[in-house]
Amino acid sequence: MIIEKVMVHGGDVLKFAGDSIFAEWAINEHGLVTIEECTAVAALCAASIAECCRDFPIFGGEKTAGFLNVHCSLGVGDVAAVHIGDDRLRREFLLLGDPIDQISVLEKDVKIREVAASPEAVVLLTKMFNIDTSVCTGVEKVAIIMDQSGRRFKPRLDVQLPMPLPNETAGKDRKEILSMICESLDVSQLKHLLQLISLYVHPVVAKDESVVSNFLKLNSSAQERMQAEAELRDVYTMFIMPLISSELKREDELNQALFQRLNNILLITNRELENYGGHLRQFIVDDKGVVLLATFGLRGATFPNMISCHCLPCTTALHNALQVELGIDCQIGATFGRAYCGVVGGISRHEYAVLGPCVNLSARLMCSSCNPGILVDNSVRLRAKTEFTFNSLQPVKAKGYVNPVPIFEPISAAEKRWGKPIRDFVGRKEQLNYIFRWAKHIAYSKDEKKSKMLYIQAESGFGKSALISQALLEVRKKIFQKKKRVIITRNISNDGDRMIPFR
Amino acid sequence: MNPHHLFLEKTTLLSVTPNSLKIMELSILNYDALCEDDDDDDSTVEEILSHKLDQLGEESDIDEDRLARQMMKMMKKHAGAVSKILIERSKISESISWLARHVPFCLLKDLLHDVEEGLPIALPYATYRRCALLFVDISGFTKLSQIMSVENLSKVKPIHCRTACLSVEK
Repeated sequence: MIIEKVMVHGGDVLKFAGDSIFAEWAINEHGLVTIEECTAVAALCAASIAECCRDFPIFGGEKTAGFLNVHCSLGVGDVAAVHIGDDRLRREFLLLGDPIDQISVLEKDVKIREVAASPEAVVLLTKMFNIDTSVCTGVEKVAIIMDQSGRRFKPRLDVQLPMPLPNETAGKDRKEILSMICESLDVSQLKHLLQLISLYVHPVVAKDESVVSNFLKLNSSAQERMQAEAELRDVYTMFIMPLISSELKREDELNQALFQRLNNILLITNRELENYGGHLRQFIVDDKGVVLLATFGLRGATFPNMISCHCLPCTTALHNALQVELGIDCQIGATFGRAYCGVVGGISRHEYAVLGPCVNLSARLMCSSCNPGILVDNSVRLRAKTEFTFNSLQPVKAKGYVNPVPIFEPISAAEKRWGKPIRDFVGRKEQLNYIFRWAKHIAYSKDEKKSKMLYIQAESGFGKSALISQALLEVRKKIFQKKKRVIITRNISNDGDRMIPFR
Repeated sequence: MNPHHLFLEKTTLLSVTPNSLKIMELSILNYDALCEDDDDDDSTVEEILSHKLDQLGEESDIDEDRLARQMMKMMKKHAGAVSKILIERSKISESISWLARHVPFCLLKDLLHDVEEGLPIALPYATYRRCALLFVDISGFTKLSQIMSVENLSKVKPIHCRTACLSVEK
């Protein structure tokens, strides 16, 4: 209904962000000529949504489990619509600018069932409405233009309100518009357009679209396809918040530097997710700041030992890569649990999303004031405790959660089982001698530029790990006896690391 | 069988949109002259159609008998190739139509502009505009999602989205 309301009022649904949406009314779209008209129609739409969605009951079986409500924030001003990413893995579309910053401020004060407008929006609204100024709060005169008692703004008698053309993309018309667009292009242009759109949608959707047969596409309704794609899965959710400002500046050079920075963040995230087999759900700039949402466990991204070999290594690798390569600190919250995976929204406008308690908790952990860099929940810890060590932190109160939530910081790959020499190791003398001669050559070689590699290949269970552990122990002992200063380093790769050691 | 019917059956089978049908009709109108001129030419059907499509907007009167004859002729000679083109167009258009629901219309317009320009665009790039931005947040979802199981939440989705917010609507 919210989507429908936005479209009827001539708006464009830009993004779905969990349980919220961003909608835009731009100048010269749908018959709206001035920014005053855009703001007036957006305010009318917000009031209409707040009225329709007030105390909406949710039924859990026979009984009412609770009520949903909405609150709205209205901002206005100049925005930059930024395209970032690459032509191979993924692109994203971001909206930056004053309205986002205004909404971030409003979100701190606005309560449920209320519609708040920024001071900039209020100035424009007063040209078309009489606003009850008594509801303006604070020094900044943030206006609550609608509250529990109803609308606090009335149309001025001397001004005619704008009547937006309903968004021509709404409902059935959207398909017709797209058909017309498609028919104006030749096949090669159509292919290019399809490739470009695929880069902006969720990988699961893009993959599904390429593999679903034409018969199914033509013989099932949009609703049937949406329902067929929905499922409940165990998902690892990772919210990533790079700690950077996304504020637009007056100087174009500074803005270009910001766009490049955001682009680099996306490229690095894409790279790490590709290495470990994860999916990027979204990159958004909202009231929380710059946020990326990535998942493991969706179709095409499910693996054995997923948490320990893919998810946590990817989380730490991404955290390190952003810090080392871009000098950007970030806070990551990660959880594991059952979630709804499928499209959210209406028939004509929707997005693939992951919804559930674990997803909400992940976002809360990311924002937690005690987040040292990476925070995970107990489900993640339980599934990775043999491979990782965890620092237990004070349980935190999370918004929407009754009980304090236990939180943990993964501090390192524990390497607990691998690499421990066996006390009663016997045999393999020939191989041990060979490895020692090989190590001795490296350690004592005068030609420092020469490097060597030794590959050990055998069937699973033949004792490769035990041999290397024992060999390392003996190499260390013998070199120590010779009082030679040698540093021995080691790296243990996980199943999900792929080609990382050789990159 | 009337060739016109044959053609209509073919297009219905392929689920070609009304506008595609119109394009085909217009293409066929000029097919006779095209065949006479280009019988020895190595041009593919795609090229022939593409070439003729540029001129077809100027056509106004449609002689049905002539159209039927031309359609029959064309179907005989190039039915396979024409079907292939239409099927390919239809598939791609359907995919675009479906995936386009996942992106905002302003993004779609940007992409369409890029495709029409035909030049690779270096990322990142930005466009600027003035707008009113509305943020709608649903309150109580986190609390509900903790109280209710995911299974129950997914069951109530069709109810709450029909009248309130997030999911599949009629």
